[in-house]
Amino acid sequence: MITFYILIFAISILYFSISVNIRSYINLLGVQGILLFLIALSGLKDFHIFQLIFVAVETLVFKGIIVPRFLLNVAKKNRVTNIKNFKLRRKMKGFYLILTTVLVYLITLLLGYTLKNDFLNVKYFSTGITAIIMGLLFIIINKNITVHIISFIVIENGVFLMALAIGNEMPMLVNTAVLLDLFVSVLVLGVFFNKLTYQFHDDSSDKLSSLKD
Amino acid sequence: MIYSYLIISLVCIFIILLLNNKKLTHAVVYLFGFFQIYFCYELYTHPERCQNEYFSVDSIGVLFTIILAVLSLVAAVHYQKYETLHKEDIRSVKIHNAVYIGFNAALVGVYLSGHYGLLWAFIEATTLTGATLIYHDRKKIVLEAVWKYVFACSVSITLAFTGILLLSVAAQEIKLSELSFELLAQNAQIMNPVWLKAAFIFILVGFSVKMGVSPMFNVDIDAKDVSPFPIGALFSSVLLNAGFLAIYRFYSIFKDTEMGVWMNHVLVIASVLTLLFASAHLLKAKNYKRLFAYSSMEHSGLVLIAITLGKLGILAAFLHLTFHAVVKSGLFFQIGQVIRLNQGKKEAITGYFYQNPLGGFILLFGSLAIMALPPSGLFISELLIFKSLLLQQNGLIIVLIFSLLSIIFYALLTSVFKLLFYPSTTEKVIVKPKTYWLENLLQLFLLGLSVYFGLFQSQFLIDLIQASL
Repeated sequence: MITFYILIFAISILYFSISVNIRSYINLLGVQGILLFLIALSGLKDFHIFQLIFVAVETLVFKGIIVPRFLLNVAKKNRVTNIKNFKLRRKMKGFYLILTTVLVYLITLLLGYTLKNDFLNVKYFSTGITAIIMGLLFIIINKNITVHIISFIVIENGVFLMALAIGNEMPMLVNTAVLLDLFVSVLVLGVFFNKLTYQFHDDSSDKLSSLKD
Repeated sequence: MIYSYLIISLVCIFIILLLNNKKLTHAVVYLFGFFQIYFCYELYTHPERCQNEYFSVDSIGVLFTIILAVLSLVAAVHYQKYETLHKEDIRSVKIHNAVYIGFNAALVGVYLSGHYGLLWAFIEATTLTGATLIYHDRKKIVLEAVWKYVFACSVSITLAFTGILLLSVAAQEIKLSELSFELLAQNAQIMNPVWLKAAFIFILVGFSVKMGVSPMFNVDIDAKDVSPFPIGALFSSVLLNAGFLAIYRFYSIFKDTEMGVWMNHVLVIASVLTLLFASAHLLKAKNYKRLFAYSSMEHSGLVLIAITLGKLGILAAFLHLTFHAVVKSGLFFQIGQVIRLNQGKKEAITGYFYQNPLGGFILLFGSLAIMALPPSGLFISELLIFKSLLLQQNGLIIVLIFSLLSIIFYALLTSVFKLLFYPSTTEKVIVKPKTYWLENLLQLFLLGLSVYFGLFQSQFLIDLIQASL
């Protein structure tokens, strides 16, 4: 079952590559949040009950519901529907990104199996690394601040998955990853992103160019 | 003791949030500052009292905490004057002072962490508190800078966490159940270098945002530019030290393993790139805050290369960071005064020496000190770095670094001389601008410290650094 969840998670990264609709991006984040909860629930058997509640709140409530709802509201407020300002030509973008996602996933899988490690779950690891790399790539090729935020959350989801890959032996790292998500998301989304979209009335990073030498 | 420190920090934060008087909130900050100095004394005399499962006290941690305690107190004095002149409301002062204590506590946590996971968490805390401190003057341009800072720091620190996860994969292979520096150092030789190399790249890139080195230096410059100048001073000194320590902890554990040479190559590349970007930006920088922020980048780059040069290089790096912290914060405090006396202008200021002779002297002396001219302590540390480079007989790197440093020297000197001695283009100042003796005195004290340590080779400082080698 875990393999199935991870596969859907990997497909969601692929879907990010071809989507141009902001609502699809945000819905995918919600799906990833729920998937992370299911993966954590079925993958880690000796979870302490307190830790389980912690992870459930973090993934299911926070990533699955609160963050997507918040982003939808911001997108609605700014009337952002489609992502137009890619740095690549739109038709080619989807193709290149799918190709890159598949290549990154294959390379990380190969790497994971080559560097055989009994304590590392290769499926988690490869999917996590792919999410991190693709999240970074989405930030680089997009000028839209909302997409930057979404991509950052994809990176965080990848890190969370990686933490789960080794979390059986080091639960402290899983907890730390959860805390990272909570604090940074609250700060980035709740405080500054909200103020930024209110002040600049636009969500293109081109508007943020006042600071110069 | 460390837990007492953290609890007292929290208590001070709550007291400040409950108070409704600006002077009282400043008084709490000063009390906390003096407590930090006492804490340093305890760290130095009884380090064992702070040792536990998660915290370890080594000499470099103690040295950086001492620097923090001194600079934090000086910055608090400057901030009080800043907020009085800006007629800040009680709410902003309360938030600033409360978060300021949190920022200090987070930095102490970084310096004294004995565990990589904990160090990372404290670095994250410096982002949360640092962003709030930058967002003090709620202007549009500040919001832009703080947004960039928070976003880039969040992404970078997430990458650093990925590095720590990769490090934990290598640790688990040899059945280590935690990432304490002591355990890692004991087992460094038998850990899988492939995971370690990947971890190092992620950690270097991730923490470079705090140290202000290539590749993630941009947002750090913007943050120093728009934040109140006492905060810019701390970002250029104690936060830079924290970023360095986060990278150095990894390097020091694995430098004697088979990946040591590889890490040296990576650090040299990062260092040269940092110097290259710093020199290019310094040539076109007109804003004086950014000018000195880019100068910090130059020194960070030098420190990165210094640690690859063996024991002498590491000694030079620690000396360099110490002297740089005191001189650069002194300069930032004075630049704050320059901007204040010129009605908030950050560029195209001339004739400052005639406008404010004492301030002009401090700026001139500080600028020459930051360019590592004698009798500045930075002269000694840079001399040691070049001596180590010559001993390594790496001609290409020496020529490259020397050329870049010459460009930086030229850019800084021309900009500072223009600021100080060019005839004023605006109308003559009729009313004598108001300066504050305590601010000038504290800035002279910081510059004096650098000269004193440079000239008299303080045994206390040398012993402290030697103990960490």
